[in-house]
Amino acid sequence: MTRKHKAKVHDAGPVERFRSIKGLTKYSLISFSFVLFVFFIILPLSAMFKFAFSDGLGGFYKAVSSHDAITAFGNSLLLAVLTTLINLGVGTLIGFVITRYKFPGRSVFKSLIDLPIAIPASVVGLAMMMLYGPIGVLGPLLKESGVQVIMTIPGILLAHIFVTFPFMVRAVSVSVEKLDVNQEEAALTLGASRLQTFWHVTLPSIRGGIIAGTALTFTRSLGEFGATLFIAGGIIQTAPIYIYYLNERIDFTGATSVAIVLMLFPFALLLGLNYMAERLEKGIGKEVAV
Amino acid sequence: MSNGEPHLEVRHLTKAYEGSKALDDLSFNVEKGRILAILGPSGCGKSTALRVIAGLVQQDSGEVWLDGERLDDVPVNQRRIGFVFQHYSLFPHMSVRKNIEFGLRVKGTGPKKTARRVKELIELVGLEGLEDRKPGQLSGGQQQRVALARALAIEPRILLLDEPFGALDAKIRKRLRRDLKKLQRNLGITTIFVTHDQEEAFEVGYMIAVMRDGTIDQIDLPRDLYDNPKTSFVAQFVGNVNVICIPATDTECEMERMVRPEDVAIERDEEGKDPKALYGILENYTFLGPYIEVKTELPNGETITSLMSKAEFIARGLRRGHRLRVTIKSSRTFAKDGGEGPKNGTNGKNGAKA
Repeated sequence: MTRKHKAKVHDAGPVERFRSIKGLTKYSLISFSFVLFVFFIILPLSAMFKFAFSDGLGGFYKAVSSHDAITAFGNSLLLAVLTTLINLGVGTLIGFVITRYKFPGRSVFKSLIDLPIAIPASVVGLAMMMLYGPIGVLGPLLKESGVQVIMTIPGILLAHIFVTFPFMVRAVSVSVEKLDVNQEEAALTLGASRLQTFWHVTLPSIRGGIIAGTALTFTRSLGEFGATLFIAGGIIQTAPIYIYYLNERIDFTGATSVAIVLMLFPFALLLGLNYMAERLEKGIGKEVAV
Repeated sequence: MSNGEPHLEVRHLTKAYEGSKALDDLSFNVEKGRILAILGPSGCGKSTALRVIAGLVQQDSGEVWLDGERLDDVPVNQRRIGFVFQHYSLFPHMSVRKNIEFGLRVKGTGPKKTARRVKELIELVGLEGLEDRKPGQLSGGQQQRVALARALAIEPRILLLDEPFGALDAKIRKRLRRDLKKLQRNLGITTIFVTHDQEEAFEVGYMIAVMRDGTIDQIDLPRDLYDNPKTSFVAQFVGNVNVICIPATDTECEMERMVRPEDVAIERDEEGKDPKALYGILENYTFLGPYIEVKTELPNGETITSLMSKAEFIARGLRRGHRLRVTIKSSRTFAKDGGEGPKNGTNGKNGAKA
């Protein structure tokens, strides 16, 4: 007993030393990560505050409540919401189809889904111009039928859908892949219709993917600049383009104030999504009968 | 067994997946209130058979009849057939209660009736107190009990279980088997139980169907299956078996017969020179709890396995290297590929395939 005890005490030395080295490494790595994050992310962002509030709160408020600013925010929000809603339907459908069904050309389809991520935004803008623009491929046809795409909100919407397309598809397809098909089969054997099965079994299981895709789509659309610039043609202001415009006019207070408000939108979205997720969690399974 | 009439009839089912046959002219009946165990190696088509009966898979040809009604054009969600999956497949976001009542609620059953039924089922499968847990908070055995209750909630006309205990450890598996059997008997529900585990099939099944390559080799009471296997596949899949030459001398083999190890008797005989008798050397023995499995090397180099009780083995003082006289109870042997068995054609086909 005593010997054992002694041995234990004797052994504790190197182990303890090893632990402290391990602890040291751990804490220095944590601090280093923190410093990196502050340097790369926090520092640039906080620099904006110096300019936004250089004229006090009043200057900030004036900049973000001007007619132009409100219009720009409104357009950006409208575009982000519409892009998200459309992607919610289209992306969920395609994400489901390419994961669940086997068809010829599926693997090509799957690998092409990510294409928009690889294409620079300005190229997307240019491509849209070459299709819908006055001299574009569809230009004459559109002019004849009196439809204008370029320099309109629907035109920018098309560009935003293009750019954000992969986010929802990928997020949904990952969660569909993880889905246990037997759960849906179980629901069917229990007498549920296809629709009931999708609503009460499939959807709750891929909810995480849909929420992730929604968050990515919304924030990406909100911040879209390159493609929007081409199509907006100086006629339509979205928040990022308005920021660029204010900066060009050397209105740094205006530019930074609008930028700070724009940054707040994603936070609001995340809070909203969390709230919705909780509601869904409680709601699903409650009213099973469709 | 002849008094019950068929409740479920499966007639000439075939199903191919990308050229390979999962079901190959499969036919069998299950009597009302009985439990049939389908026993077979993985890939023999036993799960596919269940899925066709449930309507989860469409057969290429053949018919499924239940209660005298042809099911083939009835959609899965109108068949009222209970299905229990190997990996439970509970709805992860729903509580135990919600899982069990799912089938009732999608049919619009009133809340009072639903609550009463759920209470009964929870008691039936022994899950009292766990009603509000989520599946993730339950053990595998508990989850499978929920799955069973969920399937029973719709008062299924027949219950199908696809390797339901395959993912559980041995102890829980045994417990659940017993509970299932008891429950099945009390409810009198016609049941098909698919497994690759011979012991499980024998414990659960009233009848056992041994399946391979998409068809049934033999369907019989467990005892008949063991004592009179119709094919060597059945003999080997159900219990252990020796393949020996009769007469088992060191000359040419005239006829191959099969015999169970417990029907091979051995006794020590160092001097015996009876030309009609079979002698061998004790090569090895293995302790199997109450039994000892003895391997004896025959003059032609083959090994014959016999089984004897531990007490008998000790009483005879047997050791490695002893010379033994081996006696095969000829009444207990059976033909290698049962001449009277109906499956000779199938065997030939299998040989060609392999």
